[in-house]
Amino acid sequence: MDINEIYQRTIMDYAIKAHNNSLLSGLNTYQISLNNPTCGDELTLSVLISNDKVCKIAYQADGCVIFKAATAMMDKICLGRSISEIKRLEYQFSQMMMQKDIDDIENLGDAIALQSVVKLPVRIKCAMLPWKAIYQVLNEGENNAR
Amino acid sequence: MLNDEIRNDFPFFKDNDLIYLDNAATTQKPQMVIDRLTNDYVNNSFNVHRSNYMAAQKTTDAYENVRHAVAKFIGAQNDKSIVFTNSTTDGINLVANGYFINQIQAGDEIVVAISEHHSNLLPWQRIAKQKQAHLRYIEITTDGRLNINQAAEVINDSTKLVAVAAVSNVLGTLNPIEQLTTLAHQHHAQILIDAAQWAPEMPIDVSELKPDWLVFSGHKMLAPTGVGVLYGKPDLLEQILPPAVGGEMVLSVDREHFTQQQIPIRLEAGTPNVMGVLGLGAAIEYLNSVGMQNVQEHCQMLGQKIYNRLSKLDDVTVYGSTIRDTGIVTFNINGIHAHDVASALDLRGIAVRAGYHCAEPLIKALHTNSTVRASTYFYNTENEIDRFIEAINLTKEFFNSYGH
Repeated sequence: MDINEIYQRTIMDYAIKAHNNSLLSGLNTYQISLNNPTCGDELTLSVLISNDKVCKIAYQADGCVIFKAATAMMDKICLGRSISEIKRLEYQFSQMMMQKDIDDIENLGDAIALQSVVKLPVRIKCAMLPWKAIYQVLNEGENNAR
Repeated sequence: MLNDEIRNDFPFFKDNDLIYLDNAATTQKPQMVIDRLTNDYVNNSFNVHRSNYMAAQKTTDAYENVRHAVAKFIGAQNDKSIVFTNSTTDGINLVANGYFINQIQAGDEIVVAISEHHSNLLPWQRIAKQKQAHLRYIEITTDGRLNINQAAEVINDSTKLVAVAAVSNVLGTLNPIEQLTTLAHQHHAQILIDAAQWAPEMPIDVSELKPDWLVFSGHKMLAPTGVGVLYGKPDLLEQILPPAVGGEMVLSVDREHFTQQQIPIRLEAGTPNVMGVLGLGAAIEYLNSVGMQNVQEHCQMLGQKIYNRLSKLDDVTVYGSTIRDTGIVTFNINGIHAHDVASALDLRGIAVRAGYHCAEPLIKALHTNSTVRASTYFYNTENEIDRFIEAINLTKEFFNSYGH
């Protein structure tokens, strides 16, 4: 396998784009910190939920290229979407990473490039981390809304 | 110095192109050990210390001969000092949970190095918490060596145990264990040496060093996984409360009581890892034929070569001393995460390790989150190192071309 097969242009470009910003605070904001203990990827993700939509995302991401790219891609795809839409996207992403067939894969936008990571299974959890984080932080948001 | 032909003793290299630079994690197996194990599985599958027929006695004798061979390998005078365990981690926990848990009192101190592997840190952290004792650290200098002056201050009359690795699995440095042993004993403290990265690489003589305890693993020195050695002074082994009681380690049992075997057998309950031990015996025979002095020189030479070549590169940080003691070299390419480096090398057919190598306090003390570790053994070659350095350069170019 060539390195270009895994570390594709899209992934490399998104990793550069991943920007650490000040985390959100205040009403209707939720935050989570997750990490991959074996590899040192660390993510703190904060979201602002309004009318059931994620209208702001801010994160601090430190780690490998795959992880940073996945975080930046997740940010772009999820911003402005409803909680249920994001949960569906998270499900589609996990299915894709498990090499299952999924409908409407184009919904995942540029995150489709991360499919190449399945060829390097040790790195799948790097790609999954931001999706795990947004799923969990939205659960917290939903629980608090009730 | 050993030449490349020694690789012919290892069947893995016949059919595999992998440049294997993760020997600190585990080692490849020589044909001689594999053949011996095959023969043992075919002809010597009998239980030990139990059965009365000649075939089983043969296996029992072979098992006990390995105990003797291990004792000789590390310079121990008494075979009774050698306990077979599952691993280094298992051995340290045996000493912690079977002995020190009953010795450490509130206010006592346990001294470890900041560079310890978690296996030689967590058992002591736990005991310190359980017993309200204090865990104190020997720090490293900017050269990556243990600060022996600071150690002399940290080890005092309240110290009951100094637990330290002979060789750091990250920095690759040979620690000043003779001085630390002297310091410990001067203050009537015991010393436990984690020899996991030492026993495979260098000749050892415990009758000269006189540690109270010493532990290492078979799989890091050509033997199967699941077998390790605990060396302990016999009077100390006597005091360990056996962690497991049952078959094998008893003399007699009635409804209410049992009497125990002598050491070391009473610390080896149940059917032992017979094949693991026999494999360890074969590995030691093989290593003796290579010569541990030769192993040491070859690994040192390769480690120094890696260090020298990496240090010449821009944007590469190499950790530890400029003079290398072993074949372990840990580094980072600035601006590229260790896991990306490891994957890039993996895709070029080179196996290294990335992360914190089960030494998180050390990695933090080195002001980083993650590092790459290349670790050689005596079957690696200079040509492999050349290809490794080439791959590092290509990796840098690749990531730099994308602006990383």
